[in-house]
Amino acid sequence: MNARRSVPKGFIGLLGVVAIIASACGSSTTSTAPSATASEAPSVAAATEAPSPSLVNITPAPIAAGPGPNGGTVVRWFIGLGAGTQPAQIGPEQAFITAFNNSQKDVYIQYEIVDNTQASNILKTEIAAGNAPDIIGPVGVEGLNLFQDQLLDLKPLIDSTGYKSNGVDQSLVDFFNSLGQNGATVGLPFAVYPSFIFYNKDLFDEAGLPTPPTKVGDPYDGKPWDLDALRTLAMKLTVDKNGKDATQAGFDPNNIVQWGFESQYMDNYNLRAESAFFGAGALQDSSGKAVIPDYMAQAAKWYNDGVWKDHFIPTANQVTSDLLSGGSEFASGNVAIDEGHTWFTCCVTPSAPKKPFKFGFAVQPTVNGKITSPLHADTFSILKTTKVPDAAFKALQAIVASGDLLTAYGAMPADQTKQQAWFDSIDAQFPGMKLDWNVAKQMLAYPDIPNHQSNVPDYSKVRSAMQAFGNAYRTTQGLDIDAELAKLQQTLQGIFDEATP
Amino acid sequence: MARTSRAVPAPIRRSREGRGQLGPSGREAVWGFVFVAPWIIGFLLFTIGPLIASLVFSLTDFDLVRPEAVRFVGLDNYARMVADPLVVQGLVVTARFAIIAIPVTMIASLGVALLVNSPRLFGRNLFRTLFYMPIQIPLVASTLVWIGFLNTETGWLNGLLGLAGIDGPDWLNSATWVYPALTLIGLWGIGNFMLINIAGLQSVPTELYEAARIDGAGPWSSFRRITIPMMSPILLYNLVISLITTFQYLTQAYVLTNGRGDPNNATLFINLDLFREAFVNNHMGYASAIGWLLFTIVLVMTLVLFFIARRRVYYAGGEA
Amino acid sequence: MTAPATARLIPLSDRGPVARSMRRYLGRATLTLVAVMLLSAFLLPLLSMVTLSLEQAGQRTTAGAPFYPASPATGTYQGETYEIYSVPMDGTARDLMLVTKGRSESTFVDPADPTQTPIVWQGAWRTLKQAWTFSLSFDNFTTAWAQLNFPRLLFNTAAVSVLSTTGAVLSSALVAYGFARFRFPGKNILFVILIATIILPFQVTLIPTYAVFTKLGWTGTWLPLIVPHFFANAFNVFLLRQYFLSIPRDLDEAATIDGAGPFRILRSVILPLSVPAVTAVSLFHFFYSWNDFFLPLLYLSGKPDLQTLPIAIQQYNALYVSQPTLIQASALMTMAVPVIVFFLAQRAFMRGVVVTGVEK
Repeated sequence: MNARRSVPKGFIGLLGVVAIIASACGSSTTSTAPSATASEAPSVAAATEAPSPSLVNITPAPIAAGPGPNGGTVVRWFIGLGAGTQPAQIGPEQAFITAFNNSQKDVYIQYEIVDNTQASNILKTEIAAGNAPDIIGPVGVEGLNLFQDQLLDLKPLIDSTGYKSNGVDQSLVDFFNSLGQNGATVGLPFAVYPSFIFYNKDLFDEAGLPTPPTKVGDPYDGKPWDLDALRTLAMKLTVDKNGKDATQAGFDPNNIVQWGFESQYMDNYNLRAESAFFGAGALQDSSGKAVIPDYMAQAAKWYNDGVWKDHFIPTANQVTSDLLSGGSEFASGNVAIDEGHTWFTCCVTPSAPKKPFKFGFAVQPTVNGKITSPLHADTFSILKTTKVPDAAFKALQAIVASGDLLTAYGAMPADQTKQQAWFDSIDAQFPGMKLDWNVAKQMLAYPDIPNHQSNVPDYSKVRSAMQAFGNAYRTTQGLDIDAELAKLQQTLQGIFDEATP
Repeated sequence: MARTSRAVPAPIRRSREGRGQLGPSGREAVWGFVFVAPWIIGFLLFTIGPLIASLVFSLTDFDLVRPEAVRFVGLDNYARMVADPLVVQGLVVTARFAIIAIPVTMIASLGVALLVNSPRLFGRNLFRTLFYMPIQIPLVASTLVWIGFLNTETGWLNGLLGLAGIDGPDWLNSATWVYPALTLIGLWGIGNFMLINIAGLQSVPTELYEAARIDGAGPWSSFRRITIPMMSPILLYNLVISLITTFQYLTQAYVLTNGRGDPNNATLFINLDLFREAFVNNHMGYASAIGWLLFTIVLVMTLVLFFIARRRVYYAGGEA
Repeated sequence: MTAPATARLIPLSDRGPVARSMRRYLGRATLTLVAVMLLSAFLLPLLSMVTLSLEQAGQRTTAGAPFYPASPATGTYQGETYEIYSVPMDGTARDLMLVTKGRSESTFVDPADPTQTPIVWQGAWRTLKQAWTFSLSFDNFTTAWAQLNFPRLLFNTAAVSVLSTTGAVLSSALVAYGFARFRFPGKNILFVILIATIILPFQVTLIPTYAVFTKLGWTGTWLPLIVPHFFANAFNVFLLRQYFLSIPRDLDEAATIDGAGPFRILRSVILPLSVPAVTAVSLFHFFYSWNDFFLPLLYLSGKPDLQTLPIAIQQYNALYVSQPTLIQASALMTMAVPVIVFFLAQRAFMRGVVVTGVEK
């Protein structure tokens, strides 16, 4: 404790020694297995997808240090922290990169696509081992928090190049600018995802119920569109195998086949995310004390009752059951109302042989007289270890400006001038649904400030604690929520205390 | 290295019967080094550096996303470990699991090996292939299979139990049932040990069994007096490897318990705690210290096993 | 187990009274039956996996769907497809298309004659039995095959696995032989160090290991997945050493008297007697390499053309979208090669019996 000193040099030196030993012996190692590798892998640099794969076009070339094939500076782009790893997204990404690399000779983008369950582990490995990429993204607010210390402040580059986020509302520019620590700008505005109600129209029709309002202030069925209205509606849309709904006598909670409500993909069971449409608030007061905001306590009880007393929210076991498609609840067609973000249009379509159901958007209900629409945002960032900030920034601008990527990712543009084109591209995927995009636009006016993903000391531990809490009320009947909340507050206090010495 | 070994004086070799043919001990030692040389070279090239590096990490506050701000903290990490309830929990959970899972796996894999090695069984090849198959399933798929199979709502297991009139437990969300569930999943992966046991069974000379039969020994007695002693080197291997892998148990626990050791840290295995410290909390320095604690514990246990094995394990070729 | 190997070669009828051979046969049948029962229980999760891979994706989300692969019986009405339910009506059950669903009354149409007036039925449609017919869907397999570029992935995976297995088995056999048959100073210490290398969890050596391969310029290539295996690893060496140690020394000594050197003894005495163990080691390594996920992902993330099967399958488990039927179908296709390899490699275990049997 007393003899602390900073020793990055010695540390890196150690790695250097290891590397020198390794490379000194490198020649002997390659001679051990040359015939095998060399014969299988002649270097033909054809990375293009052949229709019938020729099985020898394999290039075991290391990540290039020199200029790329187009003569430009190589910029490494790491994909996987958010969207971008599905087969349907990889194609457009490759097309974008090829087009970009062919269109100019200054910058050559080289991409890495990493399965998102492992992406942050792999990125951390690359960073820690001194082999970090230049650009990361698309990445949400949460991802930025996890890598906050490594993000480059883009302000000097923005100033020197005169970059303008055209078409982006100043409030959103401010929002993106608020994501860095110590006033740094760590990402260019790319996409925003207000949240609202997704509803399954077929299930409303079956129940003979009107669909929820699409305009802020409109009533539902003659009554205010608030939390109670949502609860009652959700219970009517929760049905057992005999066709009885959750408001009826004789409803069988052990054999539910359709659920009224779910907050799927709000970072499953994370209390901080699941409670965000109840309001907004900080987890830490100005003196550093951990607080559970009132709206969050209210939400915890609402969800707990919703799962175990009113039965309109599925339990963890029901979520992973076959009926809810092992975790794709809304797409299973067995959930009537889902509270989700704009990007959720990626994932609503059920698979054959079920007919695609009709779905629609509705505004968030008021909670305690207020509307809150939790906001997600995607951006692209540059890591501060980059050796080529200018080239990386050039690539970054091109990525952020690409309409094709917005469509592939299902990312609602932060740039208002691009929004209509994006709405049209999503509408084209759902012919005949007539999605009401005004809902999304209206909800942008009710963001949660502070954001439910805003940074806190030791973000990842706080997130784990919030998920553990949510997991408990999804798996355990009869929890004493007040006691659990007190425990959560203690846990948070411990995390904050440890993180801020 | 070969040169130094040649300098070793001859008397160092204790003479044993039937060992003279290789000539002077010096030449034997040279040959020994020649044969183990590939491993020594590989060890120096790829392994020793990272090993030492991780030991050095354990003396620092190395944070994965702040690699430029590493500081020596001496033995702080080790001191912190002693008071860390999660590390204690991790060791307890792992020990508890080891006590259940290792014997079950050892016995089950030997039992299945005996079964599918029996000449009286029709279609042995097919049985072996099928018993081996589960560990060939890619992890992402087998994980989903088990999550589905153990689901309380639509899973087959509780469905079958329900047919038998039994109300199946909440396998993955109950602190009590999660161990049997993980053991069950572990049983699915006995294929490798089964195969090793089959190989071991085949190394037992058949004439020994014939001799025993002539002496009037029954199947149980010849199993105890011939199979077990002749198999003992292989059983030792299985035991040591199970011990090592149990203390590194991670992937299944990670995937099936939301990556947090749910419910309520009941499945926070020591290696899961290590993984979380390293890659979730980014505390690679601290995680390395946990790694070296784990290393010390398992190494000591392994050495104890080897020590006990000196008297219990029979090597037909004599111990080298 | 106790039956001498030769006994099996003699026809049953020659072996004495019919009753005795009958009893023997019954014993074998009983044993096999027990094994079948045990295996069925053991493989039940696998069966659920195969079932899922042969289903259409939406089947399992339908309440009351059968557990076997099936498709709903449907009919057409005004150009739209509707599912058929068994509706109790006037004392009999009629198979009708459910056209409009409602909580207390629903509208049905007779699929045999859709021009008739739709029938309104009072009651909860969820209590009706839906008609399903058994049907296997191979779409998941064809989709995954085409979408993931399976031939390329198979080639990559096989190449990495074969190369690294070759290296691992050759080097491990040499090293194990060294540890099993020779005395040299520091041997015990070296052996303990060897075992120690697999005791430390790889998570804490991952970063420096990755740094080494990065400095060598090997990231983005297969080399980190292949080359280290040419330097033996503790799992394999330990197993082979244990096996070599149980081979009696008289055999080596006989060969030595005939003038064989250490390499020849290894090749012509030790290895032939260790076929089961060497096969086991080769299989383990091959399957390990075939299914390895994290390291190929780490080293090959920038090179989709070099990637292996497990990475590709994982794409179906992407953020926000999991496609279980495609995961299971592609997993089964991934498994096919290892399963066939295993089935064929088993001859080695049969030969093991013969060798020890013949060896007097």
